[in-house]
Amino acid sequence: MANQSKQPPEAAVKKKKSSRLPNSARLAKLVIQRRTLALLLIFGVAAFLALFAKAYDLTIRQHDQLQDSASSQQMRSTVISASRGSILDRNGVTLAVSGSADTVFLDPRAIDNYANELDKKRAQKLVDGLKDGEKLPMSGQEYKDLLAGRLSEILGIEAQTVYDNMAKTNWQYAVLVRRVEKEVSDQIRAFIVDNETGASLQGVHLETDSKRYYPRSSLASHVIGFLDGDNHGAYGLEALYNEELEGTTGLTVTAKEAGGSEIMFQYEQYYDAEDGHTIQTTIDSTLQYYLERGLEDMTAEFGAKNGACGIMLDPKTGAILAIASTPNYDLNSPRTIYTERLQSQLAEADEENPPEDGSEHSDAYWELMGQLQNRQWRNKAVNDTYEPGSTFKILTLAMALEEGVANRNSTYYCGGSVHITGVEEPIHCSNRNGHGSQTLKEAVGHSCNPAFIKMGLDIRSATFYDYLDQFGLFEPTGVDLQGEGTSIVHKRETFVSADVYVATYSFGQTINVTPIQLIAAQAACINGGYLYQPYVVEKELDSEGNVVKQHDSTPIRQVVSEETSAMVRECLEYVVSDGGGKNGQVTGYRIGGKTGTADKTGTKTADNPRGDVVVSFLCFAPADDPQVIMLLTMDTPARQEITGVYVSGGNYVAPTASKIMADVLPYLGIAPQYDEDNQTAAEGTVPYVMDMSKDEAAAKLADYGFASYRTVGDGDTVTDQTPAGGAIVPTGAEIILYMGAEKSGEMCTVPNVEGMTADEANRTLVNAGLIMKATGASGRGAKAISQSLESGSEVTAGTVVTVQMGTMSNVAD
Amino acid sequence: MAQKRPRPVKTRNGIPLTRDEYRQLKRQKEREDRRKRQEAWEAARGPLDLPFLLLAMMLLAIGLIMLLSASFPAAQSSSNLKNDGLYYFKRQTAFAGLGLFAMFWVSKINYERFRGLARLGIIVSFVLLILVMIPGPNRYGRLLALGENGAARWLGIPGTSLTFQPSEVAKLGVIVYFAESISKKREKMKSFKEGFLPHVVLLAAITLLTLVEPHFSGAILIFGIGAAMMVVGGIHWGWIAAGAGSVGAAGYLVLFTDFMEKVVGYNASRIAVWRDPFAGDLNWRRDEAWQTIQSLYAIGSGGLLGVGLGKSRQKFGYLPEAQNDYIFAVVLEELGLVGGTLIMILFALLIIRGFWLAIHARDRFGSLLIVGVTTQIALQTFLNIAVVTNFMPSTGISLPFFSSGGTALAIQLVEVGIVLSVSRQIPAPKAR
Repeated sequence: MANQSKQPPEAAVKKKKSSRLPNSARLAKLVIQRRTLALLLIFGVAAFLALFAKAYDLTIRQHDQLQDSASSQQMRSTVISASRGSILDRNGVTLAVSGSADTVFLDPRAIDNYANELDKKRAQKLVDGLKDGEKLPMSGQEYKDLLAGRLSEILGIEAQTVYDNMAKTNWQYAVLVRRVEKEVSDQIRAFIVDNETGASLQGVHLETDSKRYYPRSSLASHVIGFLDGDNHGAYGLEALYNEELEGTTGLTVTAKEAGGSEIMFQYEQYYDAEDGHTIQTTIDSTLQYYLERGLEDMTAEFGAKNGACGIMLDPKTGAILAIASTPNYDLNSPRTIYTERLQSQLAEADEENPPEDGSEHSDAYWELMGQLQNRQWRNKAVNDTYEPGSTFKILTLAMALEEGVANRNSTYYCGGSVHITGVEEPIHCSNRNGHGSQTLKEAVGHSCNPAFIKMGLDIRSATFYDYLDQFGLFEPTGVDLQGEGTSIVHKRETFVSADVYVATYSFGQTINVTPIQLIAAQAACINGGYLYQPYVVEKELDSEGNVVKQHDSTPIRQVVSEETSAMVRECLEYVVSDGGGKNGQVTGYRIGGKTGTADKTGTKTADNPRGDVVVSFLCFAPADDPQVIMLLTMDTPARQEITGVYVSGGNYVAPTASKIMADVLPYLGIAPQYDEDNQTAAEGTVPYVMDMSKDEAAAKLADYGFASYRTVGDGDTVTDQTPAGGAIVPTGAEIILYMGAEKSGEMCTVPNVEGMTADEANRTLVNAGLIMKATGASGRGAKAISQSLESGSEVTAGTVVTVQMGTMSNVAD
Repeated sequence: MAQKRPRPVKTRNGIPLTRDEYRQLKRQKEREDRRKRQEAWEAARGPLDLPFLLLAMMLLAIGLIMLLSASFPAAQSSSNLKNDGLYYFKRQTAFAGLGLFAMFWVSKINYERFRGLARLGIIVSFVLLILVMIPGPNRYGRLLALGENGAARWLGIPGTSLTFQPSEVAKLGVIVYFAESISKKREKMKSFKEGFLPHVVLLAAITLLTLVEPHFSGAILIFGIGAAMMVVGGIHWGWIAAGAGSVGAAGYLVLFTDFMEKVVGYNASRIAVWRDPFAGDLNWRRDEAWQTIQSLYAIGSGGLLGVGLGKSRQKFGYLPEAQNDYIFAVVLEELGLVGGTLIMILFALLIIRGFWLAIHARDRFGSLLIVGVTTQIALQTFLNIAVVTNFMPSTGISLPFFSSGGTALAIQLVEVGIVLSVSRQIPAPKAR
């Protein structure tokens, strides 16, 4: 029956099948299941745990390091250079300014590739044969020769240098010459485009770079300083204010593809460039010029072996108006030895040690070169200390007055030497015979050591030491100039332990100070007693001219009273008018000053019995209301045997100080005042008298203070005059009026007036058809010590000859 | 009354039938019923395994998104691809569609039918592997092979994307053949002569063919799949131990000694790079170590949360094959450790679910099919991520569902279909 077999077919099959499964099959399945489970654990769990650990290590633990590396390859930062600020003088005259200049560099790899390409082309052409009129392409070597030849010619460098740079074939940037002048870069540009290859040159490039210009060359070189090869300040204000001058370079950071092109819409960041600030200094370039010229003349005359330096301050603020040091150098080429004297030393080095074959200079040359470079960069006024000698007595004087141990009526006796307790050798006065009894003023005028030793002892060492501290001599002044040195003084315990220290300090020996420390202290003595910090940077201006920073010249402290200061000024004016500083006189001005001749401890030898000295002169003017104070020092000048002049600050330095001051004071707008004594030196402006009749002209001349005149020719009206209208000449000069006659243009020979008195010199010069302007010392014994025009030179009639007057005493100061 | 004619037992449509006729008809009906039952059994069975399907679909979807991100810069900057940034994405999507269609079709087939394809599959695999190697006049020096990235191991229609690697086919061939062969052997698998030797010989032959193609990573995968199936199939523990031991020893020699350079004379720079990618000079780094370093940069840049989807910088020409073998570096860079780990978890779950299905499959053949497919996915995933993270020396292994490669993706989806097909016949857990 069909109904009998009515079973659910699937169930039947299943039941049948499972029951039919043999034992072996069940076992096999069990094995598969077990082993699959093992695979599940290995592949599904263990493997992923390992991968997770590795991914964790990379994404978290090594994240920073890997991200940095990735960023450095992905990011391109383009520098937007900020232009460097200028350095100005106090009147806005540019002392340092940046301009753009091109740097010439090679891409040696590109050159090499191109040369290979040329060689290949050439070889191909040689195989293919040339068509009519076709030229064989140049070879790779010819290309390199072309580059070396022309580039070395244009840039003025050795062809070998170009070859050497081309040989760096794994480089893509090899600088040939940095920051070339515009004409040169123009020539290079022309050469790249237009040359023998008939195509643009491969691998020669120019990039714009900034170049620093110093329009005044060597002026104020020690203040301004210079840049290194990377345009960062290396020295001077350029280095000290590098950050302010440099500004902030801007940066654009963009993401780039491996190929170099920028990824759009991906990570860009801009940092704006901020131009550097302009630094306005307190330096007055005119005064700086006067000071540098004076130092140059002085050292040329007296041959300062260890250089000279000068500082000019505004005593009422501490602003440095001028500061100079010799030897000088040219800021535009700071590594070149500047002065002839040092250049000849260099040449000698080569002569003594002939350079080895092939090299240009000997090792000794380069070694000396380094030393001389350091020497010419050194600012003696700030970097070096010296024993100041008698100019230090100003401080002793101020202390004594302030402490009340000396006053206008004090008298001092000088027997030529003085004995100090505990010291066997007596201390001598410069005048071995003694100055006898003297008033305070006279003692200062004589620069009498025993008198000052007495003052020092009266002040007492502890108080004296405190004053040194008050005058700021124990620390650097903090002037914003590089590498400021500081004093070398005894420890307080030592100083107060014996009288000898205060005794020697009182006349400026055994203490070492920097010129800048000294002049700051001296300024405090004469400006009413206020100690100011000397400084050179008046203000900082941003690129739009807004003042960012302004120097605040409030005094550090008052060291002595106004009265003391007034008395110091009076004494120092006496030094110049009647004492040892007569050579520092400037006709028509009241000058205060103090000379100094300091022994350099330890320089006395058998063939140099007096030892080396530092001669110096401090002066300020006008004496009653000082507008300017100046300290000049000269280290180890030539000895008397060579110059014929007794070595002293008064003889060696004061005349130069006088010459400088004669220019400085009128420039500062301080009017001269003439009394009966120096009327001959009074000056007037010559009026225009052309087209006037003789009488009219004479009357006008008289109005202007010119009494003497002579006429040439016989016309009715003045057709010409000498000196020309507007010229400033001494009123004693004779004015020549040409009445119709041709201005003769007659030439006169300048006579030698050195050694003459003022009257003699004037007569001699007038006789020669010239006009004399006397300056410097006046009064009895004053003689001409130099003249502005060399004797024997031919000049037109009516030329003004400035004659420096001085008194040469054989007394040390 | 006696009747000569046999008594009709039954009538059909009113026509009386004799017993013989009836029996004949009945037999015929029974045959038809059986056939119908068979057909019904084949056509309508249990449901697809939803977890496995969902995991595969999630990975496919994420893979397509990441492929779009990773391949865009390369495609856009390629003038060969007409600067079409979507090129790889479009192609991959098309193949994914094709693959999904194939996957559902395959999942409807009774997998037992694949038994019949086993022999044919392995023969086709051999033929294709040999075809691709026949020397010839084309620019790859072969008769038929097409090249890509410097290796001539593709076949297909030149100039289209309808190309495939014979090694991809061979993987499938090995899976089906081994499943069929091993499932028949039962406990004989334990024996050397009948269980171990024939399979090893076949596997060695097909692996060597792939190796000389040359397709090192393909050979590793084929060997790994075959070995895993043999292990699961029940070969003697001794062979497993011996195999694991020799693979371990070889790995040690290659990776941790200078055996390759000294003895084999092979330039082992890949291993040197693996040891320390940042050693060596810059030029060295530019070449051999480039891809490894760039991959590490990308992964390291990712950090915990990544630079953001689509914001990879390393894909802009730094990472070679950012859309292919190194796509996971882009994943880690853009999605960070968190995103990368989530994707790894999806892979792990897919693999675990696969082996779970293998364990519960209705028969050995089904189990072994799934083991083969899942092992392939697991090996490729592990090796790819291991290479990308410099956990292992670099070989060119693509990441399933992620890496660009149309036919490979389609084949992967077909394999997923096979797993799903097996999953249908898993008996539902008894209600009791």
